[in-house]
Amino acid sequence: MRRKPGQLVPLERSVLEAAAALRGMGMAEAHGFLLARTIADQTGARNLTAYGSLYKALDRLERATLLTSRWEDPREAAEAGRPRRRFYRLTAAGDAALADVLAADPAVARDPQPERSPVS
Amino acid sequence: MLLPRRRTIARDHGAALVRGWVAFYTLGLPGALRMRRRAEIAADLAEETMDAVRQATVTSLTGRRVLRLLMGIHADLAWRLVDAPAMAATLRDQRPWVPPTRWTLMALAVAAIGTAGAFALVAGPLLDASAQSDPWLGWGPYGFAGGCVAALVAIGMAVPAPQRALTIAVPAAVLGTLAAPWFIGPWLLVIISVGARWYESRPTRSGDW
Repeated sequence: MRRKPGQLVPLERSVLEAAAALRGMGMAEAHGFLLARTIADQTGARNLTAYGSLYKALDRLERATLLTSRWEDPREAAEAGRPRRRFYRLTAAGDAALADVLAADPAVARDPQPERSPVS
Repeated sequence: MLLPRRRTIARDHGAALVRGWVAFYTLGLPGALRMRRRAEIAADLAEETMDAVRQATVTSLTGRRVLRLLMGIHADLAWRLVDAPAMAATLRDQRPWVPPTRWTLMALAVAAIGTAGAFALVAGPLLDASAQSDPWLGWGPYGFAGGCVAALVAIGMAVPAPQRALTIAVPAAVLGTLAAPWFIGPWLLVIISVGARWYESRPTRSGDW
């Protein structure tokens, strides 16, 4: 079944909630694995979101301009001895979409706190 | 000698399986899109490994990775078949036009003159129905003329739209070669000149996308 334009599937909503929660903890940007870990922590799931589902959802949210993304500076990744991360950040449209969803379903609404300081 | 924990990670075939699957389903995508997905999954795998080390759950890492892979295959396929082509089209639109070098222009010009001359030699007898049947198969003159026209179209498109030109030039050359195998050299020149133009127009790096 084709979903309506602008409608969020549960995983996309979880991603936005995780991004908002991380921002509330001072992380304005988060990479894919951190979002998956946060979603699992928030929902109490034993397993992390599947690779395919997670990155497809991130792609769609970015194309819907609810998230923006950027690659980490390669020097930082090289210094840490790991692959470059891709960081995702909630946009104003993402905030508004999340607020709409939470307003429509207040029973499960969380309280995303305002941004403190960017941490990458 | 590896430490026990390190040895377990080194034997993690789950990561190799995930990388292999990602490499498979991203085949055929533009470089930037392909590299983005592969790099993002590679970063996820590295973070997952570090997280497992921190939480002392390395021993079950392979199983969890395989489960994450299997649970997301339907999404991977949907992304590859529906989302990625749209993103690839966006990328193609953003690709900058690369001007041709003078060597490519010369090769295209020689190919164009040769093809136009060959077409003129064949089209005349075809029009007045005096084409010799000796060296040709039954459909040969028509196939040769059709190949010439398609090759000329491809050569004309090679500068503004090299990718499309190549997709026309290859079947044109195959058709022409089947119709007149003794003329294979000029058909190869068409392929080489259009192929050279396509090659030089490719982006030199995949870019951060």
